[in-house]
Amino acid sequence: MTPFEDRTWLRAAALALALALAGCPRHESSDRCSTAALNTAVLATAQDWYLFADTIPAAIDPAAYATPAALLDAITANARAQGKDRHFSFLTTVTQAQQFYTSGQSLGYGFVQAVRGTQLFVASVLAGSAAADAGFARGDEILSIGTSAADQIPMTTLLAEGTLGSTLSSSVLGTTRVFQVRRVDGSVVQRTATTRVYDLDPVPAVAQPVLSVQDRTVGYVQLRTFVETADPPLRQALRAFQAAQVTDVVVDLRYNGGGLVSIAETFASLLRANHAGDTMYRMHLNARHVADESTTAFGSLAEAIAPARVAFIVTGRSASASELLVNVLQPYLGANLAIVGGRTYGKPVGQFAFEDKDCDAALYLISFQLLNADGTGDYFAGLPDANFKGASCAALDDLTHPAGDPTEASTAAALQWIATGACPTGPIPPAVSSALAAAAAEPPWTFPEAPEPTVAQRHMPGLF
Amino acid sequence: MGPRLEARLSGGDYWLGLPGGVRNHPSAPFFPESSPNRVTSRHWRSMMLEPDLRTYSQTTVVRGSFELEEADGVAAPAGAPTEGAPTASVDGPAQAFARSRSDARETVRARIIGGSLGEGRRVAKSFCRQAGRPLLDKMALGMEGAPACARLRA
Repeated sequence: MTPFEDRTWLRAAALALALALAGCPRHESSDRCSTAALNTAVLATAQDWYLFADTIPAAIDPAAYATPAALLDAITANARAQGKDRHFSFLTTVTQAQQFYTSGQSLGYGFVQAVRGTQLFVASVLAGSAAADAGFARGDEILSIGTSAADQIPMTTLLAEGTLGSTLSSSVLGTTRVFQVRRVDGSVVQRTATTRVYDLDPVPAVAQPVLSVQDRTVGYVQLRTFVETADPPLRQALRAFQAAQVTDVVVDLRYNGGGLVSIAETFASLLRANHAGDTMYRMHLNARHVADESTTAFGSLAEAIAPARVAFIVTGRSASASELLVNVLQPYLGANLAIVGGRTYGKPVGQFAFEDKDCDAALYLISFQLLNADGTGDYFAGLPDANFKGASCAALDDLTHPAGDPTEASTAAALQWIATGACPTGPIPPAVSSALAAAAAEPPWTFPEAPEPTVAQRHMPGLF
Repeated sequence: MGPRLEARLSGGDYWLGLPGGVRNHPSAPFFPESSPNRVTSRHWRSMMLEPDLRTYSQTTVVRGSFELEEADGVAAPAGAPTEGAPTASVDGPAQAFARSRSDARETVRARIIGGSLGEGRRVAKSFCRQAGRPLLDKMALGMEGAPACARLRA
């Protein structure tokens, strides 16, 4: 789950619930979709299933809150103060959740943006999106945005005023914006894109999925987000690795904020052939549901491989299911697993989805914590933590080269570690941002957030 | 007759229907208003005639959308279960699903047919446990819709 440290998500949730209430055709005459009814359901659900149920204020009156989102904010306030639920619990619509998780689609332009200082860059472009059709590419710097060439607003202004998201209006279908763009080669061009629904392209194609590094054959695969439509291309990628007899794998999760645990399970099993039945993780629930706690094992998949070394490329925006994938493999791979890039976000907990389809309302409530085979999963400050058994290599996210290009900084560091067991710039330090910035004389990347983030934007930081 | 379990994978999301818990549920048009706790053998047989099923990956799990608006007039193909003897056939997919949890677990759909509400809930809980997921009883939470196995997001 992508973190949203400000409170803009509350507005999104309130909007979602307002839309849900407005679109309640089967119950217009009843009060089942009313704020009062939804508030009652939200509190009852939280008291029953919230992982941090013991932190819910004792005297909380659901009738005292104007929206379910406001109530949820109060319910989670104490856990948030403890750093355990940093707006991970949220409300949305069933429709939007299904569009993302099941259909693997989103609405917008289809590019991931990253900010460095007062500059905005394109970190990733999703194939088949409006941004791809407009010619955007990784490394483009967006200089200004407007509704036409004549009313361009400089990026410095948009970032200083915090109006980038509202100016883009990416969640409004049919929004057209004109962009002034400086390409990696220094040339300045104008690009025009109109928002539309597009496939998320969860496993993007790369120029060189199999690389030769010294005497090793390395497979590279990137996973943008854990949605259901990622399953077939992940298996396809692993089948190609089987055919190429890869010895090691680089898994690129640098902008992946999580998604479906089931896809993480599949991916973990794909990277660990011949070990079906070994413990993958144990699901810890709150005290009311200890009897429902369960253990999940690695599966036996035909496309699975057994790489000697696995390097995960991550950043501070790699979260949740991405961290789960690393955490469940590290007890088994030990020093043959590495994370390359920066410290991960730190979300070892996840949500159950409580949906009311008739009201088109969905509560995503933190309900479980997943512990690996060693019983560890407390990395609220990110990975690596004190229990981490693998290696870590600090590396920059080099937007001047495509992800997966052997000359791109993080990819190069991962390949070097696989080939030699050594990192080019040392391990990931506790304060990765300042250390990396000092080493590179550049400030770290941050990812802009939408004023009313969609489910897709929660899981794919910087997506517009 | 106690509750029976039928599980299918679908292209959409899944839910678990309990007798009495799916009345008027938009996803359950085949539960007649007149007898919401039990389907007729005709309806049951039609459920087994889903034409869009196909083998998925290396397992016996099947995937396909599940739509059944009206059972009348549906012709049973050769080999289809006959009235009064569907139990063995319908247990099969659920067991296959439990064995192949890594395949499309998010998309399993199951229905429990017949029996009392309490019996149905016990079967439902057992089914979810096989899948490594607790049962979320929405009715107990004051939410509409059938109880469901928890779906995990992280």
